Amino acid sequence: MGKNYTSKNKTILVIEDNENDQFLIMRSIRKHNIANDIFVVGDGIEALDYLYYRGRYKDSNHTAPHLILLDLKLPKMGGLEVLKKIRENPETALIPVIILTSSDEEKDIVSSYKLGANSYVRKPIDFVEFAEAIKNLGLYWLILNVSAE
Amino acid sequence: MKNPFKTLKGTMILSLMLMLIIPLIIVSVIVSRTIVKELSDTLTEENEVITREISIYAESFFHKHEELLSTISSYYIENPNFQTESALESISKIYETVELVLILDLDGKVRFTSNESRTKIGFDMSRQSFFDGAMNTHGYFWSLPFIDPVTGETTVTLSKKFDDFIIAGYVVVKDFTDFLEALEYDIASIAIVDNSGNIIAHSDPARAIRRENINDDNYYNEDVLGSETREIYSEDEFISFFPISHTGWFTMISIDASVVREPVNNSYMILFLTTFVIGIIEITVGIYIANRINNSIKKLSTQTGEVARGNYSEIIQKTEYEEFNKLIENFNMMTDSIRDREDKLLETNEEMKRVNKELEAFSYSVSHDLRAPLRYVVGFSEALKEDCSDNLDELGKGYIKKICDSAKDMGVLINDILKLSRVTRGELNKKNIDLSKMVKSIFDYFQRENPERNVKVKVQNDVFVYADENLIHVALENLIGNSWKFTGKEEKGEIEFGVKKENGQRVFYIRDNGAGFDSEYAHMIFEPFQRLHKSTEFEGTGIGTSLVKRVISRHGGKIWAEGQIGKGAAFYFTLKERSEDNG
Repeated sequence: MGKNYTSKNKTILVIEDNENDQFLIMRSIRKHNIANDIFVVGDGIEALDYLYYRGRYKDSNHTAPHLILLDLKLPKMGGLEVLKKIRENPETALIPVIILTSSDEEKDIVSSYKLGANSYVRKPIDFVEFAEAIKNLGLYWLILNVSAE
Repeated sequence: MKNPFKTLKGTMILSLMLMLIIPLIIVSVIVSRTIVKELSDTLTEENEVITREISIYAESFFHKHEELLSTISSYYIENPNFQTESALESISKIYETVELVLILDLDGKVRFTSNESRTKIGFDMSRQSFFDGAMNTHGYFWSLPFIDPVTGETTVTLSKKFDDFIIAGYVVVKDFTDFLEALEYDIASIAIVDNSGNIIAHSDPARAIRRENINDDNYYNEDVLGSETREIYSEDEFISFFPISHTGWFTMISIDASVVREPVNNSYMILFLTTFVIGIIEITVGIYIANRINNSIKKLSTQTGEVARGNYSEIIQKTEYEEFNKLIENFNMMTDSIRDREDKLLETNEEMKRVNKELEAFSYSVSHDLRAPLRYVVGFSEALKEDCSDNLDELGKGYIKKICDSAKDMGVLINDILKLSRVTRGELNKKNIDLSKMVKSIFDYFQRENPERNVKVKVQNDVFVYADENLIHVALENLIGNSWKFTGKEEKGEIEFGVKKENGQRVFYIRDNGAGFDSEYAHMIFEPFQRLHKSTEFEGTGIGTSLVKRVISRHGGKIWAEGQIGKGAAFYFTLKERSEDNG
């Protein structure tokens, strides 16, 4: 199983390949004091390595993220496949995922896959939308400013 | 029964029949008349011959006997005392027809007789008709025939008065019968009758003996015997009477009617049978020919029918008739040309479809790809505004605002283009939709979003159409949205939805009493991005109506708009109805 949740810092894993999007997302999250730790990966395979402590992250002692922001358009392994894998693995199946979409169509595609209860947020992150998504997922802790321990 | 002249077969057969029957009828009539006339002429000729013969015979008969008596008289006058008696006797013996000769005094008493045992001298004959007749006639008097009681023969007397005596002779007319017998020909019987109808002589000796009177038969009611030739027709006989001159007698020629009728009937019968037989033959032949031609035509019909149904590879075969073959040649050429054109059209169609698809894909992907950089323009402009405002003066902040606004506009435009493109792509998923319900729910949405607005809405109930639900929803959203928008300045906005029938077609409409538009530019309303109002008056990119037009077009319908500035607008559209939807 994963590492213990001793750290009080909550982390968000952002899986997004585009630099500009990465920047804007992080800026937005920070600006609104959403969470302390943000970890960004640029493609699906690295994301899975991170989640399952393999590859580059074999010996890492990071905690599992409390929220995943997933972009659909990723190189190598597509966003939907990543999502599927996340849901299939019992270690990560329960981690809430917010899909980053760039269009209404992508929303449709995801829902048609019925890949679990997900929320959507349009890029760049609109704070109101984001707040709504958080509310729906019950992730209130993200808004609280947790002091470092 | 159908009009037979409307079919080729019928016309041919009927024409053949008419062409046969009419000439045959005419010929029959002519022939039968000719036959009848010939018969009649022949009979007339025969009759003439007979009557002439009889006349001649009768005349000579009369003349002969008159001469005889004259000779006797002359002899007597010259030799009054010379054996008159024996002279008379021998004359009577010599001339078989002369039965009796008498010389009488002027008071009727017999002076001399050729037959003492029959009539004695001194006998009073004044009561006899011949006496009266002689006394009152200038020349010879011939009596009416009578039956001589002594001989039993039909007899006539002739008598003449001389200065002091009367001579009379009894003459039998048996010879006539013999004569007539000789004259008789196969179909006629000949008789001689006197003017009372008594038969004096008959070609049939049996009848001559019977001494009939023709008036005994019922059909001689009329006074037949005048001085002219008369003819009587009865069922059994044709009878003609010809007077015999100088005598007051008549020749009667009777022709057995059946004998006359027979040839006529026969000829009719033959003609009828001939007509009938030829008729049957001609009808049979006619039907056969008509059928053959008809079959060729039917074959042609079937084959051309195939082509009409769309089978353009069908080649019509030639028939046995030249006239059809030219037609067939032309038809085949036409089919070839149709096939070629169709092929070309299909090719062009495919090409068009391909091009369209490419264009759509292009416009879609371009619009889609434009979004990402646009996103960054907006994102970083805002970041700039928020994070660097300290380093920016008002001018700089102003510039940034313009950049942000423009980028946002661009975003809206791109979204609209993508919306338009989405509407054009994809399969139509038609089903039965309750338009009334859809319209009402769209109205409700707008009212919810804009609770401060007071808009009266009138929706016709139970309007059902067969169409793609999503696309129609987009179209109605836009139309109602427009009406909602343009009634924004009205105190009491009114929007109405309904359907009416025009020329048997359903026309749907959405009307409002809003700002309206200049109808002169009505045709431009449906162009993408074309607006008839300033964006400061009413916002919008002008994509909405062209979206609606695309949706309606994809449903095989038409859309048009009417409006007047300040008086509101009305949008009308039709859809291809389910009954017309064959493909």
